[in-house]
Amino acid sequence: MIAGVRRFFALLGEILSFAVEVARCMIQGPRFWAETIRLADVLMRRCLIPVGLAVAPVGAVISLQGVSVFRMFGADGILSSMLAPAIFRQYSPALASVMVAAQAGSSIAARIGTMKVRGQIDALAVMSVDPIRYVVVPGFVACLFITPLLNILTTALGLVSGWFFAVPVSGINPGAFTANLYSQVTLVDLWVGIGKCFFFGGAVGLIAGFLGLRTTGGAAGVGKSANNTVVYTIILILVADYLVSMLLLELGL
Amino acid sequence: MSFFWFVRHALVAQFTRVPPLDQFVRHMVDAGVGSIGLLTLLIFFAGLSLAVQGYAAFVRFGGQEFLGLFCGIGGIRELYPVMAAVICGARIGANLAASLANMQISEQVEALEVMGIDPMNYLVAPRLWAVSLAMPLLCAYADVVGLAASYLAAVHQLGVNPGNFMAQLRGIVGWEDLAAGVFKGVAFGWLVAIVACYHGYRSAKRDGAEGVGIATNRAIVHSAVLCIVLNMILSAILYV
Amino acid sequence: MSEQASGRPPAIVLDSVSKAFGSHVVLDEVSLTVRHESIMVMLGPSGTGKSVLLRCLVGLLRPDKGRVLVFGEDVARLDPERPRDREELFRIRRRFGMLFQDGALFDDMTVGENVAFPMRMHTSKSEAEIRASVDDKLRRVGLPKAASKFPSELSGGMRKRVAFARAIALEPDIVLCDEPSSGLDPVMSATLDELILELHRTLGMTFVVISHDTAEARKIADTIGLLAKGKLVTYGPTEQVLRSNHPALRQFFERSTDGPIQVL
Ligand SMILES: Nc1ncnc2c1ncn2[C@@H]1O[C@H](COP(=O)(O)OP(=O)(O)O)[C@@H](O)[C@H]1O
Ligand SMILES: [Mg+2]
Repeated sequence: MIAGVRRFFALLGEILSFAVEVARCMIQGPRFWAETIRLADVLMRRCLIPVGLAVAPVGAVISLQGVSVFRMFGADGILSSMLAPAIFRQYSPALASVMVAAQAGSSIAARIGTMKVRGQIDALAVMSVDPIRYVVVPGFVACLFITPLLNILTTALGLVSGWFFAVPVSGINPGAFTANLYSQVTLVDLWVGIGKCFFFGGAVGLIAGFLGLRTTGGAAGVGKSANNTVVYTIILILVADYLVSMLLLELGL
Repeated sequence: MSFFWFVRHALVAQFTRVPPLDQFVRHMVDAGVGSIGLLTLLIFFAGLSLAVQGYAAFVRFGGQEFLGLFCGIGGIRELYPVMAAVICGARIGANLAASLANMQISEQVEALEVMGIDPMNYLVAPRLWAVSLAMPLLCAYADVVGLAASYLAAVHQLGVNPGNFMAQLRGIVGWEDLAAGVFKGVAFGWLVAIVACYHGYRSAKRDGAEGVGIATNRAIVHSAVLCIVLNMILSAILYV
Repeated sequence: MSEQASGRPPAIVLDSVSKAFGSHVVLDEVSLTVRHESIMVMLGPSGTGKSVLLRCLVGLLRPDKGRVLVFGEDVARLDPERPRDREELFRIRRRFGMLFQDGALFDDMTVGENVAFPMRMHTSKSEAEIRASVDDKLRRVGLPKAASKFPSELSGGMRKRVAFARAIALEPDIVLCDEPSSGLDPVMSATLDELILELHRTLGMTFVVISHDTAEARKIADTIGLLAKGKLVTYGPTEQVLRSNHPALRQFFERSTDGPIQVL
């Protein structure tokens, strides 16, 4: 147990110093912009469908279950005032980030891990190309930007699917739905969502690069790195999410 | 090899023969016991979050005394089973896909075939059984941890009346909800296992280490998406 | 191809077998006969389809065309995706042992468990008998003390020898060896050759050995084939092949760069 805690903090320290190294590489060139943009484009396309498929059902489920609860109190008109903040602030950013970790993070870690076990990372270093600059930073920057972008799309999608299951399916008054939809959403919700995604996206890129470069143990190790990237980022996302919710509640926002 | 061919053969292998018990036990332990630490941590935070968010949402129109009800419905019926499926699914699915893909690229699966042992019986069937039985247990466990966390947050942090919280919970959550959760768990477990086995099994020698990464990535993404979509469908069937 | 006077049916017959991946033709009308209780060595440069040929013999790959007869039964007819054919294939495959190019050891099992695995699955031997047999096989391949190690702890050559021990564990009728000597040092490779000869002599196993090593072919083969660019260039009894003046064969035996086999 104590050894486990020690190992956890040792790992945390390594990740932080890795983050510093990545930041240093981003400030000092050379930068591989073309590669970064290509990667962002590829990852964005690959994430679009999984992220959409993950968020849309959540809007649907909130509406379905919400209707059954609010009906008990005859207050189903105010369903949308609960749906919108939940999607904006909570489920859309968290799920978009989890799915970016699942799709982009694990594929970045697997790609870097493959290069590592094949000796290509060492080959880069021997050719005096810094592997962090060349393979880690593009993935990090790509994740940093695609996650908030995806979040905007998924927020809209979550609301649409929530609307669909509330209004046409469950027969809630459309006027009441739209009237209450924005009653509880503030600019804060919007910015909190985007800010979280920015942070989570960066974390995905960072952890993927970190674990990818540490891959050992041949082909099986590649799978392990991809897997661990997802597990670690999910932990981070959930813990951070809770802390942010607490903070916002304390601040009364 | 198409997915449907694979599913058909996997089902035949799963239900016509007794799976090798040592393999079954190993994967049951891997999937079940191996996921508990992660699951406890994440569901605990999810339970706390659920209470805090529910409170934040209800307090806006003065409905905070309905928190118990909210945590019961939101947590037991929806969040915990699907979260357990997505989290454990990512972990278990990635492990299954990576190990099968690794066996494929190093020709271990073909070695089995040449020895006259059907990999579907020897490799796939015990994994399907193990994960479909481990997942409902994990879902039930997640319910317990999540509710405890919500209760802690509601009572000790947000100052909700404990008697009220429990009364509401009992009022809304019945045995049929827990049964539905277990049923969902079996479905999620089988889905995670079949998707992961498919992606792992489909890799070939020529894909090399890259193939392991691709199989792992696909297993994680597909099983997460499919579990979330399946959850919606099951919820629509069970609760509407 | 003269059938010897033994009167036994041949172990393996390939009848104009062709296999292509997309437009890439890997095997082009290959026909050959492997006599019962013989040692056939197939030579050929890398990437000409030697491993593909071996896979066709055990039904891991299905040829596009032609017949693959194993003790008279056509393996090529069996579709591994059809349940009934699969059962049939598994039955036929029990007559084979196969040494894969990279060993294909199960890496979650120890060396001893790997070698014991076929016996555990297919025989009702007692645990003590299995252990004795495993020790015997491992001693034969020169690894008497490796039984409790894991494959990841072994060198490539050691893994290959363990894989050989596993391939002969059930003392099958036909043993297929994909490049048994590559990755082994000359002495170890000679030891393996002796072992093949001994198993052939004492248990009457039929061997199909793929190799780059002409010295190995000279030493163990009673039939030699040469596969180049998917075609069976020459095939026949060892003395006859060694005496023949086929340019590709001469080039291979003389390790020369000029000849019909061109890599550049
Ligand atoms: N499953 C496959 N799909 C596509 N091409 C393959 C496959 N297996 C082998 N090949 C191709 O067939 C050719 C022969 O391969 P192989 O039999 O492994 O050569 P070798 O003679 O060195 O053993 C190679 O060019 C290889 O790329
Ligand atoms: Mg080969």
